[in-house]
Amino acid sequence: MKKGALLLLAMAMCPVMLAGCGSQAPVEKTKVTFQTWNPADSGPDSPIYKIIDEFEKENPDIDVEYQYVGSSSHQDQLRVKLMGGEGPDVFGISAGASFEAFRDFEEDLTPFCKQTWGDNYQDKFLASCLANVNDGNGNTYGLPLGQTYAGYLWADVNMMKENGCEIPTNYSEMLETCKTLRANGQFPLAIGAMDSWLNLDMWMTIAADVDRDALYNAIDGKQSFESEPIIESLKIWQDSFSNGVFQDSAISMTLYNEVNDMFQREGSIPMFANGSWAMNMYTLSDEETKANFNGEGKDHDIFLIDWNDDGKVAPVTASTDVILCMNPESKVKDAAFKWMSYLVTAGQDVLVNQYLEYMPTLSDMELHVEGLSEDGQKNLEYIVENGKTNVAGVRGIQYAELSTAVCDQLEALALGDVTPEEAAAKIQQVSESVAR
Amino acid sequence: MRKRQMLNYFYVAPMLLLFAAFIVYPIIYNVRISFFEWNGISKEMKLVGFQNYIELFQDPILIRILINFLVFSFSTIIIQGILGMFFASLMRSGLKMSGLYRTLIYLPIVATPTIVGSVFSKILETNKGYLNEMLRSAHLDSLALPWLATPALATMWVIIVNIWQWTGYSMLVYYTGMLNIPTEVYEAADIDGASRLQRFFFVTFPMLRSTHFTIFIMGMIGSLKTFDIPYVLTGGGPNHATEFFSTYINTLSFETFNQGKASAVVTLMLVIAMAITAVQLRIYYKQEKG
Amino acid sequence: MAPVRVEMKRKQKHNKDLVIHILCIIACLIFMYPLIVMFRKSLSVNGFKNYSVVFNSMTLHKNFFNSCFIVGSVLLIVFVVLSLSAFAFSKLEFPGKHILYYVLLMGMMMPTAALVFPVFMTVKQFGMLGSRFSVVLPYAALSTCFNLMMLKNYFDTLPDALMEATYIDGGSNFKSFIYVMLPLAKPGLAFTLIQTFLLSWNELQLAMTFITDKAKLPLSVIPIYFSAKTGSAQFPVQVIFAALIICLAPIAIFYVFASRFMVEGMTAGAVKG
Repeated sequence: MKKGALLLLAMAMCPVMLAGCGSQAPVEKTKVTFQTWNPADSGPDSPIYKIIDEFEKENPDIDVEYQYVGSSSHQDQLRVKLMGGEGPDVFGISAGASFEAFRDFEEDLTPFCKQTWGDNYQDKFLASCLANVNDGNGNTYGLPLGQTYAGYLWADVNMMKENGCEIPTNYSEMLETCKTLRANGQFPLAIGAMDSWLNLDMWMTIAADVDRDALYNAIDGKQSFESEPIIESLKIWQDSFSNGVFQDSAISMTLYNEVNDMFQREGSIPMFANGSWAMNMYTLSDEETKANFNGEGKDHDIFLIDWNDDGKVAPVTASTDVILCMNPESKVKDAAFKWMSYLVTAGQDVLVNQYLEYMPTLSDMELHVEGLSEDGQKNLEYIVENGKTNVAGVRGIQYAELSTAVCDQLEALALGDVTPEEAAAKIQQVSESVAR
Repeated sequence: MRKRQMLNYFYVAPMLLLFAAFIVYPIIYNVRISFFEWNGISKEMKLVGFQNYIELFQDPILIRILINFLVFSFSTIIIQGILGMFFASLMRSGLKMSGLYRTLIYLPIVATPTIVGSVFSKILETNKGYLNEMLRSAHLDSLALPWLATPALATMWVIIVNIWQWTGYSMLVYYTGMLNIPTEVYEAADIDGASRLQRFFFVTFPMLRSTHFTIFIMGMIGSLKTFDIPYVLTGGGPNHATEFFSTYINTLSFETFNQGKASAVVTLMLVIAMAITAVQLRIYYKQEKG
Repeated sequence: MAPVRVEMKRKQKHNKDLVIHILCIIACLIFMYPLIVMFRKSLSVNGFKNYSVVFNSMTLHKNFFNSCFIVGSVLLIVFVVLSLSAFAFSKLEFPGKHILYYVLLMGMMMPTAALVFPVFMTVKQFGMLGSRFSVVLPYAALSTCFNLMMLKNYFDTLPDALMEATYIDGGSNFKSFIYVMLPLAKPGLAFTLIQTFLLSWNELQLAMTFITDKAKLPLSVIPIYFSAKTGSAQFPVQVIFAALIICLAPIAIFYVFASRFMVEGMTAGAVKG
């Protein structure tokens, strides 16, 4: 009996022993590992592979090993690998709370930047992007790849016309338009309000429209959230769920892929809320999107409205889409930086001018998107123009706890569980406990 | 005899090894983290004693989670149990095509969270969802409700989708349990002239005692750990209405970067699971001896 | 009994069966409806071309092989480890048995989210990171914990008298385990192996964290390449669904196969109580 049991035990344990003797391949090139959720891997034709190929051609001694992880698990995985001492040499991270939280695993890139681009390297990037990647002392911990603007609305102009509507310019027009659309059995302004980040984007643009300084001072802790402009913005937000501006049950719909698909692929809704990154609808190659955006006579508009009817159109908020960071434990820092700096310059040019994945973060980059339709070009110009003159400030709230508190209250307001005053009070309560 | 008993350890040794290697450390690690203030990534950790637990017990969301857990566990265990038993006994009674039915009822279990999320949001969407379109075309407009946007209804749907997915599991557990009931027992019952129902209540049901226990404990622990369905269907919302232990752990670690509190939730979960299991096992062994 | 009454009874039974069949079919339709919706979606716009998109953009055969390898190893380990320990906890006596059993059950109470980092460190210690084996033992550990109670309770329902019978014949515990108990436990074992297959085939969180080389990843992680949740949605939903169905088909096939085994266990299970 003993023998039998031991045999079974040995059988059970043999994979352990087998695994012990893994093989090691000889390495000649410098290998730089790179993990990110964006730019994404969408098959062998993905832009990122073209960029890597080009880079390796220019730098035959470096081998970039790219690993794509979906956005839902990228951060968790990255955390585990970094803490376990197995982190990639270069990784992408989103701006705001995540970038702050990962600080211990972000190499100070200032010396590398100076070496590559000179002492005035900061001039190379847009000021709003630097705000995302610098610490309080002006040291740079990441390279900004791709600028995005949030707070925009999109409309299918043809569909609006069919329903006898024009693109609204302010809230009262929006209200009327939504009533007409609803009467015709159409969706009003669609929003994927199950995504709290989208709620935050939309509310920030509303609040910045009411009073830009009141919003950002409150976020920085210099002012209370229980101020008149903030409460007004919360009221506009809440009203939009009950007065018919947003679609019914907006709170249970996600932007990706629910609301977005209706607009991008089905072409079944006239308006929806999404940021500047949705410009890639003009470059995506799947048949439905292509037919809907680049087909004969198709006309879509990206637009902003005046949320509080004071005659001034709402501003947008801006942030870096992906921040490229270097692992301080990397053993190939020079090669890693070479790759990062390539991706953020030549690589970004491909991502922007061929795929329109985002707006540029480089101050001197020219926009000449290949094959963009006239309709797309018009929208692109609108975004660029607003990017120059109509940015309220940083997108999102970098203090995780405060951000969660705001998102929670936006949801509670949408359900009608709290009044704008109560919501502001609750946010303020959390705001006071945040260490800034 | 003593030596013989010691030899019996060899049977459980491989499992103990696996357990020691992969389960013990995570448990210790989580309990330890729960005493720290930590964002889950930085190299700095601050020992704060029971602060995370104090915060957790003052958190109004915890009450919501506990209520959801109770409502969810009892309704899913009972309904899944009844349905599972019902289908299993049909399969066991040698119904024609029962193999096919069994396969089809079990199939939802293979659906991954992505499928559950995208399919059910298409079905349950308020404005143009399949369910509401069906109701409207049947002129039942008043029944076409905002299914996932109302807290109570959203909770209900989380439960229904869970039942949809896991009834096949209960069915199979009961089915395997029924395979063990000797046919002679049924024959004896038949001779006594018992009807189908009588046979079920007086023979099958009591003989499945250990299966009921399995189903109950598995159901309780499954409910404690439930994550996928609320996560994809409602994201724990609207406004935390469908928040469960695991969804809250997820929010705490990845959205608020509050790993210490997240670990406190894990520990609390573990304590609850162990308490439930301890009570169950005690009853189980008592009845076995009695 | 008059022949007429027998005839009536048969007819009644026939009607009853018909009612049950209708009931079953309705139930099946309800259970299948969401899956039918999924299948229809996977064919929308481009029909079966959606499937070829998936096949063309990924080297699926490699990932399929990896999954088979991983799941095969897990099944083997779980089969041996689980049946031994479930048998021991049910039929054998040794000091501290109840406590040990209780402690082992903790393994199924841990939420996966809380496991990733500590298990990662353990796997790293073993020097297995990056290999296909890195996930095998963690999966095996989780599956045995998850199924221990199920199988132990199944063994509990098998009469102890059978063990004693072997002793009288001069056999050992191990002999009665191999020749008597294991064959009788076939249905329970088949069930736990189905669950193990399901868990290890669908798992992707650990796999993605432990294995970085795309060529070594199992099939389960493939759908995430098609469903970018934030930012650009490169692939339309129907392609994501096609990818999901490709990944799920093997489970369905395995299930049909394994449930045969279960039924076989029933006919072989000559339990004479």
